[in-house]
Amino acid sequence: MKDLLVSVMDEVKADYLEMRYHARNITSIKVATGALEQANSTEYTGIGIRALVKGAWGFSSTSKLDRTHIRLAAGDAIKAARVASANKSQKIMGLAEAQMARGRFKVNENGPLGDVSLEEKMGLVVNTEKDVRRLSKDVKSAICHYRELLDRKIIVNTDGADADVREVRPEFYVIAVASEGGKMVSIMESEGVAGGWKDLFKRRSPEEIAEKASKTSSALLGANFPKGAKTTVILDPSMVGLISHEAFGHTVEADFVLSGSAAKGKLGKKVASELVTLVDEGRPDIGRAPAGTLMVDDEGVLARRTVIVEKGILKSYMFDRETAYIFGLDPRGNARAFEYSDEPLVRMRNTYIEPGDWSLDEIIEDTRDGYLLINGGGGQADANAEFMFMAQETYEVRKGEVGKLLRGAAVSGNAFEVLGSVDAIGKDFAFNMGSGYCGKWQPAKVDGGGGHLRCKATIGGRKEG
Amino acid sequence: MSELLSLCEKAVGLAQKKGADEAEAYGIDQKETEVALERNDLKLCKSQLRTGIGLRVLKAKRLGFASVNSLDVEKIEKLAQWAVALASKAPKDKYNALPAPKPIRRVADIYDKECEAQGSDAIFEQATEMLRAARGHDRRVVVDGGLLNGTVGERAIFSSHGIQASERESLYNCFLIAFARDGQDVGSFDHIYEGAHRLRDIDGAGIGLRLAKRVVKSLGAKRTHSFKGTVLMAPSTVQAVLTYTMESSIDANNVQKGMSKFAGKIGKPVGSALLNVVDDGTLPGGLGSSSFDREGLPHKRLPIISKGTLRAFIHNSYTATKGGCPSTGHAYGAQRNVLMIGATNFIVMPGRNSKNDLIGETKKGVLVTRFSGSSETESGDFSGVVKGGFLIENGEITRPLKETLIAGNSFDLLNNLSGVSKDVENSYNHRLPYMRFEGVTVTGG
Repeated sequence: MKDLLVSVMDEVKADYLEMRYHARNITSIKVATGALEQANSTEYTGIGIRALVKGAWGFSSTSKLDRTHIRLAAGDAIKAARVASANKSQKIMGLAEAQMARGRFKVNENGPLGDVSLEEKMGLVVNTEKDVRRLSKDVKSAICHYRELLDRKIIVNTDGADADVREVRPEFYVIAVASEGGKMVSIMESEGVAGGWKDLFKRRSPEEIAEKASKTSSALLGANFPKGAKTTVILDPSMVGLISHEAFGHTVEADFVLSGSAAKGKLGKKVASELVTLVDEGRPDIGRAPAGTLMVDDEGVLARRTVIVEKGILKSYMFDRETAYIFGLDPRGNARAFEYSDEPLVRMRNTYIEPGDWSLDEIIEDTRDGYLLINGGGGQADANAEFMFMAQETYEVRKGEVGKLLRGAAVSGNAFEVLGSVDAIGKDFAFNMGSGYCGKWQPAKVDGGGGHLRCKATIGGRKEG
Repeated sequence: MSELLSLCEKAVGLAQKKGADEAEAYGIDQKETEVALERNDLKLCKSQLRTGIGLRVLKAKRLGFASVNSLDVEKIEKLAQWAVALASKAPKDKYNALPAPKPIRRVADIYDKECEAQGSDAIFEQATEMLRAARGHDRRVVVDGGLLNGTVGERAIFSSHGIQASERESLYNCFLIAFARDGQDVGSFDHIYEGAHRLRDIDGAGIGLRLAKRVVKSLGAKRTHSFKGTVLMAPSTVQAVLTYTMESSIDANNVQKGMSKFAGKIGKPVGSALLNVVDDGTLPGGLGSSSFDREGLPHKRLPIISKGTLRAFIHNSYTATKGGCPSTGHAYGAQRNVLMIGATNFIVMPGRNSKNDLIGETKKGVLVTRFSGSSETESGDFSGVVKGGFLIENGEITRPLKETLIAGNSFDLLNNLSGVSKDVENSYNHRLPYMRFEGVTVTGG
């Protein structure tokens, strides 16, 4: 395949050309309240071709893998770039120099997924869903879903990339729906990694995941809602991942900075408490097999560590080659495409806040009045740095002790103010948002985390505070 | 028979040869052209073919599904093998059955022959209009991104139970996201998502101008204090907070699995008498319209809620078999996924008051033009941030709001509905009015 791509690349004429063969195989098994809803096998394979001609991008793709069709798609990409160039007012002046990937790259797979039979995977999903309902009489409905993404990519471009990449991303989640009278509470517990079967269940076994979802949804049936207010919050690692990703990460994606996001013009300035060092990284040494693991990005650039905030000072944005050229900085592997038919965009990978030196007990003991927020849900960012994300469980913290369990709530605030208010970070680091996808035109597997962290934010409650 | 339909037939035959008792193949063959926008400019032009087949098989009442994005015969052979292999390992379910055919009536205005020959130039023209209108209205407007995407092609379905159907469709999707920036004052994002079956029905300039006006209004936003009061939701907020919960609650699969609060409520009140909801997959030109659903059955106009009383759930043939009733033609999904249940054109019927009447009658409240938060479809609990929000005091909009949250329960809201506007807006396949609710908690920052 590589030779075929290179020979087509040599035949056509563009200022820059990038060809990406991407074979994706997905297996998905889903059981809902005793019935198998999905036993799916999906293949999605093809070649995405991006061309830069006279300062504009064109893109095309093909699922037909013979020379004739690849050549046709390359021609279409070049033609599309010419049409774009004729209509674009600000032409692309260049692409930043980058460390191009050459060679073979493979994600470490602790317990290869291929060694676990389909029967075993199906049996696990069927039994786990049953467990979720068995473990609490309040849980009358449940879902268990296992999904694996197996990817192979061959990336070549006219600037010297020549990479053969294999990635493996399994994910597993359960939903427990507890109900009684007119009340209903639904809780999701999940794990997602870039790695093998043992990586997926390293932190928690399927039984532990089932038990947590079942017991929590049942306990929350009788719980009250928190009071809405601006208050002290202690975030667990999944919520620290969300704050890194949603609250801050999106505002410092270079394409968005150039649009005029709230982070524009803030390089070198204080944007967070000096306790905060925020990093986006493709292959972190810290934590276990995070789902956003990336060795080579979809522009063929080697993935390297990006320190975005160092001790409270904004040090860098995240770039693709086009935006890195504009800023005169280094691209470090943040250009990602979800499937072969998608073009690369500036995206995050594993975004986290480096651990501090507090234990969780010390943070709680030191907190007079606030909330402990656990198990993050979805979130969104805004141009003005105002963010929101969900916590599924909320605990009162009063006079240094954890109190009553309350229902979940939306957490919101201005990213700079909230990160500026951080006054304690835990040493208990974890990545814990690996089963989710980030949505920005296309999905992307990302991860995030940190140690427990204390700051000030607004909680959306049912009673005014 | 079209080439795509005969490939579907081939896939069904192969599955049966490999041991399937019943099989159904659903295929697409489409041409896609897209213009993407970024940072007040054109970003990229894209042109590609999209093909694929999804194969559902049943073997001794066991379900298997496989899909591939290719129409090559060798791939289709593999596909049949995968699907049958999955089915032989799946647990048995006595309700698994493929439907028998029903007569199909062609839905009007979902295909425009002119689109077949349309090049990327025409799409560029509309995208450029959109940009020009947004930027021309006010230089403080920043178009962060957008796209105009045109797809024309065929979808086809063939089953071992005698279903065979195919149709051509043309579809244009338009998405624009923008915010306003005035020095250090950065407003909130807002977006418009619309579509049409003909390119000439996309009003690029109109979309750009509407969005520009909206984002400029959110500049100068201030915080408010917390209170419990009236919330007037714009159609896009109604969609984010309410309609997904309603759609999930009328989904017969959720009803049967105890994941719907509407279970057991047919014929009973579920909201204020002002509430009327219809789902209509036969609407000429509707974005959710088509002549047949994901398993080849016809859609229909189905009253869901009439004067606050729940009238119907939406079914595919699996839930219909389980519930002992006919399918309502709501099997839904792409060729890559096993089919689910989904609404088609989801319509909340307009009321009698204008949007301005609804504001005029409000003593203290918030107009929410966009909601950024979570609305849990099973329980109906929602909590999130008000975007493009405005404070209403003594019947008048007084100022834009920031860092304000609303929280509550969607099912409670339906009972606390105090007004429905006659003005409606389309948010893709949703046609929705402004809706006013009482007793909502508003938290100030």
